[in-house]
Amino acid sequence: MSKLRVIMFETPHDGYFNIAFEEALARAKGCNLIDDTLRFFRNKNAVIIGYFQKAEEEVNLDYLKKIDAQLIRRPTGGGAVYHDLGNLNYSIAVSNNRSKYISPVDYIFSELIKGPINALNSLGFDTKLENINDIVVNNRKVSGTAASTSWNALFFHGAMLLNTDMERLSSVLKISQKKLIDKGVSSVKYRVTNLFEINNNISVEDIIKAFVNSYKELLSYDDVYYSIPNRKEIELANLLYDEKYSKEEWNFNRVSHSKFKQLEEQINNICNER
Amino acid sequence: MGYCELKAKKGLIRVSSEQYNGKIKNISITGDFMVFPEDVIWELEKDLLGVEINEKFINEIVTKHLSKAKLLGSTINDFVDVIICSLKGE
Repeated sequence: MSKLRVIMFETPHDGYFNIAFEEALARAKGCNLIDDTLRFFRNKNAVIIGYFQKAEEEVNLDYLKKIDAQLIRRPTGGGAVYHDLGNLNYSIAVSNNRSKYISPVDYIFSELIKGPINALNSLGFDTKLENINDIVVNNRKVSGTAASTSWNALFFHGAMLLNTDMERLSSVLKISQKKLIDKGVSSVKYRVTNLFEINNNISVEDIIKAFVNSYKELLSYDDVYYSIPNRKEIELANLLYDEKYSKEEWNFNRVSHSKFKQLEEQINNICNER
Repeated sequence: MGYCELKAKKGLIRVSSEQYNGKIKNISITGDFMVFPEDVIWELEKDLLGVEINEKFINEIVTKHLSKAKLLGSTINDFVDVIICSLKGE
């Protein structure tokens, strides 16, 4: 009997731990320590940059300091995003077996990405997928998504704008002129929007329920259960936090996962303990 | 120091480079593109160090690394073009 586990585990004041837990979730799934898991979390005030990005190229660092926001590199590619409590983050880690007949990356961006789209459509939003991985409502982007297949699991996550401070978002993120010209707009705030601006009669709880139902149906789970992180997930997250995500070297210097050799050994030890 | 950026179908690829005596001294490929597995980008950067600035050689090295990766919304040619553009100091 296949089950979807749902966790609402967050540390909004400590974005470093929140993002460390993202990698821990993918690792835990890859080591078969958990069932397929859907997670929701928020950060209070943070900029999350993509794995390949240079902080100074993407972020207005003076403004970041002024608003006292954290800067954290995530383990996946894609662009920089601003997180406050008006932004709901979702992630799902599922078994590699799901992509038996299709490449893992194609599976993620053709199937797993339907989770948020179907969820928003079920709430009455006119939701579309655009430009490979952007989730768009009424022609405005409401969610960016990213993924990794690095840890023997399929890991997909996204950030959804519900009621984010758009002034802060557009002030803290630097957007290349080339991208703005490509999108035909003059500023990032003219191509993104908050879902609550489109419909303020829905709640965060409605959105979470819609996501859970959407993934239950999409991936044909027999059941859904709500849970909390297990001991090994927390151990993994603590390790990743201590050795990688809390470090300036990781967040600012753009180093690869493979640079953290000792961490890799420690993670393997946790995975292999039975 | 050369710098160039290219807007691929999905994502922006930025390349900063330094050269010395006609060879690549430093190179950094950054941006919001998506490549799987991700660490192939660092392997590519490492392999480009010390390489003679010659479009054919660079094309071969980029192709060797990225042909085994899955590129989402960008092509091997996008990476070749932006690396060469950066090395030309454009």
